[in-house]
Amino acid sequence: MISEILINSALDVSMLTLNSNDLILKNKDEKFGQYLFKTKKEIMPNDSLEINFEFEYQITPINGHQSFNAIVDNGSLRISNYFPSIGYQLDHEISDEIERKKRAMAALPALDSVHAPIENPYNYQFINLNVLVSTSADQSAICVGELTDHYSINHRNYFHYRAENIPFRFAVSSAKYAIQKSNYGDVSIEIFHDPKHHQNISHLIKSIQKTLAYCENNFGKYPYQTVRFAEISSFTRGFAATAYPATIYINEKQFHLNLTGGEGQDVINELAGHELSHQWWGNALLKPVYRQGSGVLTETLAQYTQLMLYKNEYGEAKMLEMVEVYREMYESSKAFSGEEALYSADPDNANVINKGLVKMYELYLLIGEAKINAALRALLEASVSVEAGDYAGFVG
Amino acid sequence: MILLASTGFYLSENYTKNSNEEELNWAQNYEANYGHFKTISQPTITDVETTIDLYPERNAYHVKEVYFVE
Repeated sequence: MISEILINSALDVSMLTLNSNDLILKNKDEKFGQYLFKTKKEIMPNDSLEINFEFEYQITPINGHQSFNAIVDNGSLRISNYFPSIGYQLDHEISDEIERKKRAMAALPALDSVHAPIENPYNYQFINLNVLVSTSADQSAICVGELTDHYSINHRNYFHYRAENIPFRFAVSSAKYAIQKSNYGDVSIEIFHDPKHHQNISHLIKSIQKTLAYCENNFGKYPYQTVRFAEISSFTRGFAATAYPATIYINEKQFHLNLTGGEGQDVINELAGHELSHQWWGNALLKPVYRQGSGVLTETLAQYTQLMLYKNEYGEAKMLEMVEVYREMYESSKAFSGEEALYSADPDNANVINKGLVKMYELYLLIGEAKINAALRALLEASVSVEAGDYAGFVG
Repeated sequence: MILLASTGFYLSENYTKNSNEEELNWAQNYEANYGHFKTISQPTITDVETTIDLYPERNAYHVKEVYFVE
């Protein structure tokens, strides 16, 4: 039963309207962006109510920066971070232990152990998303899921996207995109890019096709009709690429790379393998409960997929080079933070990436690709049935 | 590696509204004022219906939306 609802608005946005026929505003706290509502009647399980919002955001221009994208991304491009959220926001807390001690704050509770019980049924808090994005007449807007419609009215371009059963995590980009299309079977492949950055597009498309073929043959059907890669400005720092349902945003720097110069790695192949495999490992298909070890089911498995794709493309010797790169990172981080078992690793620790790839390689030597892939396919099938409510004590 | 690089990188580079100390004070006070909501049952969002109007030429956007919660 619920009688009070706390709504959290990002401080950077201006909330213009926030109302609901079922709620009465009890307190508004602008300093913390908190709106506390009382329900008109107690909400029972399975009661549904509507909350309406209207808000706007204005980015302060940053001197000297000319991004080709003119993305309205407030840097993170993850627009869902700026959408209101409900309840207490754990990610507002100070997580640095030394800082907490300095301020005489109690230590944060430890991350749930890998053995901690899981509610049955577990609420994954997945959403159905229905988005109409509009942008200026010379631009296209990219969101997540399937594009169901697009049109122009009054010098504005409109794009209607829908996605079902996805985590509350979505993004938009907008740019003067050129588009290159291809397909893998009945899956449509679309690359949205700066017209000047065409050098690596056909290689990217081939890498996407190979990744789809590998993942579908070994793990299960790709869950969408479209694979969309959209280039975003290097203005958005902090990542090379990031995966959302059906859409992967890729930093423009990756489009500039000269892949034919010398004996460098094939970053496009790595990136397509890793990011696209997150459609199996970490989005709607396999969404582990955040706790110790959960990063193994997303990052480590994406690293494994990337490694196998690299091996299939360039052979065992090049695969070993990749293993050595990650082994070095793993060894050097071990010197700082000590050894950490992978199965109970902090999901935010780079171990799940670096050590993860090394250990998956060792497992590959021990039991081989076919057995690993059969186990991963079984894991996915079990996970999908768990999410459908058929929880049978499966922890992964 | 990407899911890890989620939040905060823009803030750390470009966000000048508050000093680090002010942000930490804010976070501490948020926890003190609202921490009790950790244990109060809250509804979850099941459906998001939204229009997002992007205005790239002036780095702005406008959002209207409905959350269905239960």
